[in-house]
Amino acid sequence: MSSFELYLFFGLLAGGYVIGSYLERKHYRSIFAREEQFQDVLLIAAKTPDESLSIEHSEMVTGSVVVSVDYFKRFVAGLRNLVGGRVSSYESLLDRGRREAVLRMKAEAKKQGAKMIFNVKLETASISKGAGKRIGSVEVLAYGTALRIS
Amino acid sequence: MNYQNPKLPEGINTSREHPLKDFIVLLLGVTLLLVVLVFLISFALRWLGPLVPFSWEKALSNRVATEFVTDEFPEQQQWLQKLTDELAAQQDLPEGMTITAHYSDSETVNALATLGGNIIIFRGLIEAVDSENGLAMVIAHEIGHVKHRHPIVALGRGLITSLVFAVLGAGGDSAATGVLSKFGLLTVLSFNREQERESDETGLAAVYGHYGHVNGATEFFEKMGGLTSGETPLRAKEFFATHPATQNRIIDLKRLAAQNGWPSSGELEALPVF
Repeated sequence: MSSFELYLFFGLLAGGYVIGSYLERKHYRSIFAREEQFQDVLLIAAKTPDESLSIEHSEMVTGSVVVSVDYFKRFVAGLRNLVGGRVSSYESLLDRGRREAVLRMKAEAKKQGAKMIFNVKLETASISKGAGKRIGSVEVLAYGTALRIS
Repeated sequence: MNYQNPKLPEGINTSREHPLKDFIVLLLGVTLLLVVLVFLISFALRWLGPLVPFSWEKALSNRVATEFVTDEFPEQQQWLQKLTDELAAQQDLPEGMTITAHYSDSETVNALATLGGNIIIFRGLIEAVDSENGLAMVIAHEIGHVKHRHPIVALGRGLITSLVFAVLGAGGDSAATGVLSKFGLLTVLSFNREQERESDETGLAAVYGHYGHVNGATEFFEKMGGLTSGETPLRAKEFFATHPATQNRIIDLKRLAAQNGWPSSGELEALPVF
């Protein structure tokens, strides 16, 4: 490995860390703010609503997000893969992905005037399949049935 | 029914640990693990390498690219082979071990021993020494490497280390293991200091056996040692990359000669003019 490659590697690592942490903090701030904003849209895991509710309108809502790790996190996860254990560098990635997907679903429900989403499901798909270890991205999809209650 | 979504506390699904801490602990841990592993393998190979029959090594070397072998300089080639044979005769080589000298028309101030008893002597080295004795010490040193089976040990070390990293690479991230393996391989590519010392001792004994004295044996090392890093000519850089601590070697060689009572004065043989 030439020294150029080595510098490039450390540059990417440092750049990935600095930019990645900045973007993650920024994303979390936005997540906290919007979670506050959409607090009034309830998520319910139950399949069917209580009979006492009078449903005016029901419609499926979805929210999906594709999120990728930075170079630094992928390197740390690569080291972690050698020895096993909690891959903490990926935990925040998936946490952000899930919450962002739910928020997007809630935003769609709110647009319809719905205050409740029933049968909420989350699905995660790795979109790095076939791309070897070059891409570390996941799609998180949240879906459920939005109910407008009269 | 009253449905509710209470606000959940943060930090359930994510770790609060600083990401750099994870990074440093993992990097140090994995590096340490690899260093220990490579060290253990090297240690094991020091015992296993010499058990490989020399004929296997020779067969292997025939397949290795023969980039240094040339018929263009028969005079130099013949002379070097003769000197090499004379020095090899002093080393009590194991049965079936043969040494083949190769002349390489390159400015590199170095000589090297490789698989199958092949020794390559560069033009730069012959030009750098003042006497045949100085050159003989370097050749005898390289023969020492062959005698002690250092090339096959180095090869085994390189192969097994690559294998370890390949296995690691299959489990981990390619960039991570790529970098680690590049660092790791640096430590196994050349002969280590102990092997150099071992060959120096064997070499000096051969020089004494051939000339009856060890005058001029340290000539080349003194020449190289006299160069401070600031004035190192580019063509000598390769020598320092593979042969560290020149000053210590001279001291060790002189001590060895004194211990054995090998005279340090005697007539120097002149180099032939090609």
